[in-house]
Amino acid sequence: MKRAAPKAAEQWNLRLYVAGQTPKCIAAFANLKKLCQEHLGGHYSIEVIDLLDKPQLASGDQILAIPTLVRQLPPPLKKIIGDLSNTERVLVGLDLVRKG
Amino acid sequence: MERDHVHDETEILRTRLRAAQETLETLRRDVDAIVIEGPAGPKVYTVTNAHQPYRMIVEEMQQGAVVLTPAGDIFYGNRYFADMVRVPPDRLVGMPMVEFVEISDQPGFEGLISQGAGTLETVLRASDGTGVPVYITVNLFSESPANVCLTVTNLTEQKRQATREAALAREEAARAAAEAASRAKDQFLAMLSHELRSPLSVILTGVEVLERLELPDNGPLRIRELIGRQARHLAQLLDDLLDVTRVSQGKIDLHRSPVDLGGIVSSVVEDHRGEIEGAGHSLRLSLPSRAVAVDGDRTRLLQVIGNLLHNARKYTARGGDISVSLEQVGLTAQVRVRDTGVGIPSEMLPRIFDLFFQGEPTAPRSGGGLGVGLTLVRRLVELHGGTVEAVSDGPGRGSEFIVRFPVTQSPLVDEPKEALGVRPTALLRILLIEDHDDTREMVGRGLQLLGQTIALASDGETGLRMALADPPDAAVIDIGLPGADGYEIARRLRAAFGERLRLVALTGYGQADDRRLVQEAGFDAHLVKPVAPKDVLRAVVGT
Repeated sequence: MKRAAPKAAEQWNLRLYVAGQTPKCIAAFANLKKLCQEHLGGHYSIEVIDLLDKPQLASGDQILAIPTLVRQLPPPLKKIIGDLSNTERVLVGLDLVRKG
Repeated sequence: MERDHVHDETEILRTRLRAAQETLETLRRDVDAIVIEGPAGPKVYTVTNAHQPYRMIVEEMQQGAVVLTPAGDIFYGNRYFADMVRVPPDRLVGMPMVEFVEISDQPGFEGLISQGAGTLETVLRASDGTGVPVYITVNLFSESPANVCLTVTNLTEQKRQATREAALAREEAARAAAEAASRAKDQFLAMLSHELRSPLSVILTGVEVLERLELPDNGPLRIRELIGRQARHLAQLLDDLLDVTRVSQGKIDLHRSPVDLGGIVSSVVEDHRGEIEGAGHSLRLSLPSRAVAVDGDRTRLLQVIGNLLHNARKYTARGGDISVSLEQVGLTAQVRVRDTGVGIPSEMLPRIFDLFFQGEPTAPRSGGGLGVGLTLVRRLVELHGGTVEAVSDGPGRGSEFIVRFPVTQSPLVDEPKEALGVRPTALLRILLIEDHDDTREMVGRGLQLLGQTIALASDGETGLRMALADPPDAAVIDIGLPGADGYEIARRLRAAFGERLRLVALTGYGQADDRRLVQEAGFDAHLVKPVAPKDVLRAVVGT
């Protein structure tokens, strides 16, 4: 597993879609924050969107299940469903490491 | 054939797909929850927002609510919590909760989080550094992963209330202290007057004794009169002071009966006539033809009118006019004491009945005094259910005091005959037991001069021996004796002589308790010191 370190000053904008304070949503947020701290230094922002509050925002990113993580920046847009507990899968999904 | 078969299968699949789509559509539109069979039994999943009202309640409630990640970061904080820590609600997400807790309480707080339960009173540090006193409750709401939520109660108002209550309690304590000080002052005044009165009475008795020893020369006579007059004046002041403090402590009991106010007024006027006319004033008295009955304490009424008349003389320059009148107006008896003296400035009128208040010291013939007399007048009048009022046209224009009492319809009680100025009394043998040397000496000498045979003892045992050796007709016994006290001596004398011996008690204070003890010890009469010899004789004779 090779690490693809983000380019300097590259800004990551991440959006986590949750529904209230369910254990899986909380776990997804906790896992994401930990992962970002470890791999992205200070160059990231996490926006938590509670679809119980604003269900109309589900259609924008075509959210089907909760929790879902969406990588807004850098492009291309990527989605990962689940509580993000499988760190390896998340890193691959976010292009932070390449398989091999 | 083959194609038909395929066609049929396709149709079946289409039909099934349509049915599935319809079910999905129905699920989307028309149901609130679905039931899914799982290995642990059925589970209900809500489709619409079942907990919407709870979210609204949590968001609006006046208490902080926080959900933490297992790492202790804020995943959700309601609006009240956001306001307390002064962070916009959407910015709270991801912030470590512990950073809002007072530093000294942070280890304790983290302990509670890891236990998943408990409470903590601490101070919330807001983003701008201000502190909010709070009470935090930690609850575990899912086991694995372990997630906790907090309720954060703002204690600011409660603390403020406690502070207010503490301030109130301090105020209360201060007031209680002030009241205690005021009571102590009254007690001090009572003690002071009492303490001063005792030596004074000895002086007075001494003067009385001197007066009876007919000295040939005029010089000592005048000095004697001077001493007597001044000492009597002092005694009057002290009596007033003592009475005022007693009234304010509620210790004066009126002995009321229907009395003729006209008789009282005229007897006061006649008592003061010599003094007033001697000061060059004219004195007029005007009484109604019929008796005016009031329900009053004769002695106290004499005192009231006497004080007013005394003031009229004191505050009027030589050659003035003083008049006293009594009339009945409806059901009110009205006494007016009027003078042509220094008068009272209008701004002082409302205050002249206050304790220790005096007219301007520069006023001619203001003549000192303690400012007690008018206070006593008012308090005594009020005890009788009456009123007193001062009227004056101003400085130099005289003043008038108007006292009003309710009249009574009850028949008048006969006035007591002027008892024992010195009524001829049969020679009695009186034993006086008193440890205070001067009092024993003076009262003893006085009784001797009143023609009695006196035996003196300075303690109870001696007195008892003397009585047994030479039985007296009466024994006058001080209560506060060294060794066996007066009560004890009285009991033993009563046991030895029975009813034929008359027993008179002398006490320092006229307290109700004393009176009861005195009666129980078998005394026939009770005198409160200071006493004059003729009072003692009156008590011994039993009139």
